[in-house]
Amino acid sequence: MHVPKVNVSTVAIDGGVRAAQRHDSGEKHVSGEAIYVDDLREPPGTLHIYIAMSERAHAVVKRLELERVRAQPGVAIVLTAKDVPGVNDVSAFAGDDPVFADGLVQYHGQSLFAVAADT
Amino acid sequence: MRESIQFLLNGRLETLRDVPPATTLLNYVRKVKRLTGTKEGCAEGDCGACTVVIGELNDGHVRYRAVNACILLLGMLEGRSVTTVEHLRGADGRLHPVQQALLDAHASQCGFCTPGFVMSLYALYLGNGERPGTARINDVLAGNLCRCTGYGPIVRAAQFIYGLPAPNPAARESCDLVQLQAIAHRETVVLECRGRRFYSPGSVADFAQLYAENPGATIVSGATDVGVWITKAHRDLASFIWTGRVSDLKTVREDGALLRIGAAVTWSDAEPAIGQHFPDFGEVVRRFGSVQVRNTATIGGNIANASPVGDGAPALIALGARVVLRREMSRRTLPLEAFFMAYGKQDRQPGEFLEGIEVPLLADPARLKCYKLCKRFDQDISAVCGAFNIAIVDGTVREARICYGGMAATPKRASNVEAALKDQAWTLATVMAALPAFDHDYTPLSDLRGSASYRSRAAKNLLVKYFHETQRPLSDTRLVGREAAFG
Repeated sequence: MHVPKVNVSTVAIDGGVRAAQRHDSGEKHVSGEAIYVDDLREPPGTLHIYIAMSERAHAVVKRLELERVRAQPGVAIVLTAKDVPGVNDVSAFAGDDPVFADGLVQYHGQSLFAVAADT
Repeated sequence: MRESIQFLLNGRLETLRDVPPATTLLNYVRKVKRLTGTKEGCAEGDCGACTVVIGELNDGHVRYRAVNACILLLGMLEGRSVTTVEHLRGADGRLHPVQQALLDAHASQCGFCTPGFVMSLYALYLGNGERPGTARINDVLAGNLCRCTGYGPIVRAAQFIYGLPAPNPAARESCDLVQLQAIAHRETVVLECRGRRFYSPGSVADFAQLYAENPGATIVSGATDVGVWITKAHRDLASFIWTGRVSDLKTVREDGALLRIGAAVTWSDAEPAIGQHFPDFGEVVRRFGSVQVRNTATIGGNIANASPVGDGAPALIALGARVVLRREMSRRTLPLEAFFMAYGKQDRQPGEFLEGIEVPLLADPARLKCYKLCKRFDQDISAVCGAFNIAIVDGTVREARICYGGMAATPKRASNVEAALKDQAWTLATVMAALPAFDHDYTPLSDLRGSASYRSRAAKNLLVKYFHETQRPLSDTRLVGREAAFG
């Protein structure tokens, strides 16, 4: 079979396209100077959050009994779906990813409620 | 006994006392020294984001090695130097060639793993300065995980390094050498804080005495497992005795027909002798943990820890190795397989410690073949590890020693299979007839590394593979590691 030869020009076109650009943070990465969240000093008074997650893959949440959780020493606040201002959703566009399960658990590990406490 | 430890951190002397001895080097540099370039990824010695370079005196030089800071305990730094990524720029602020090459090769994306890669390649660069081949680079980087850039540009960067102008590493090394010599000594030191003690004996006599007096202490060698007890199991251990400065436990020597390896010899230090005498065992060692793990983990730790999936025991048992146990001045030796009594139970008395192992040399080094089966080729825990040492004389099996890890609660010999082979003609028919005997030797478990049926099948297949490998060149059956396999 005859394969026609193709001439591919290797002359660079004008502008930044096709030129390898260095990563803006590259020098910080290789020198260890890039700051990540884990590298920041913890501000005084920082609360720590624990997310309680469903141990069932599909379940109806009849009620959340959280009084004993709220009563623990050091607990600042306990948050559920009812505490979300606006729409209980963090999906990109489809409206299908609630912050906290609200009445129906749809997967194992879905968030039920969050506790913010001193430690 | 001195109640403080001394080491160099980025060229400056650190003297510590009253520091909790279970503090990891990673937490010390990040939280106390605020050197946050060294990252915490997994905190169990797998990902390499926390890689730093440790220097120690060795025959009048400083030997530098990459280690995982996340599971290295502070007490293990006595008399050593630590270099973190922050210390690599030259005095004029220029990036080190290793850093420059990674930058030029676009070898970072999120950048979180990058300091670890920098330090692994820096240790390689300090090692001998020769341009490494791709296989060597892959080995050196097997313990550094990257989940976004990809290894292609990182490996290319590793090759670029040697085309860049070299800084003057001799100047820094001679500076470290002088400082390390200034703090070198053979005295026993202890780091103590709130009833927790980390002893660092400087001689085997001190070690034996300390352990006899504190039989409940945890013996630490490389801490590649003890460190994980602390970071992941949150165990609160009251006292530690470290083997790292006990030079009598750190020797490798040939003694007639025996290879004697001290309990505190790291896998990196044992690798050359093992590879020379038992090439296929050397191949397993090359895939054992990662460079960072092999640089601290020891043969003695691997044996005394007695994991059913440890990769040292199968080959050592197949070779007929014996362990040397010592309590104060009294010693006894026993076959390694007899040391492993049951899961979590070894033949070791209170105050008794593993001093070393004696490995009989083989007239034909190729007779020992080892097979490590795991989901990831490098740096993974074995599902099954089998070792075969079968003596064939005039076509007949004179002696067979076969041992597996991952098939029982301890590393265990396949005694029924060995009996079925002994004195038989070494033929495929003999091998096939011996396979049912595996089911009398082993009842493996199912776990995340492999199902019971997979393990049983694989164990049998490995004997068949061994047979074929005695009949034809290894190039027919091995895709990787041929260089090592061919010696």
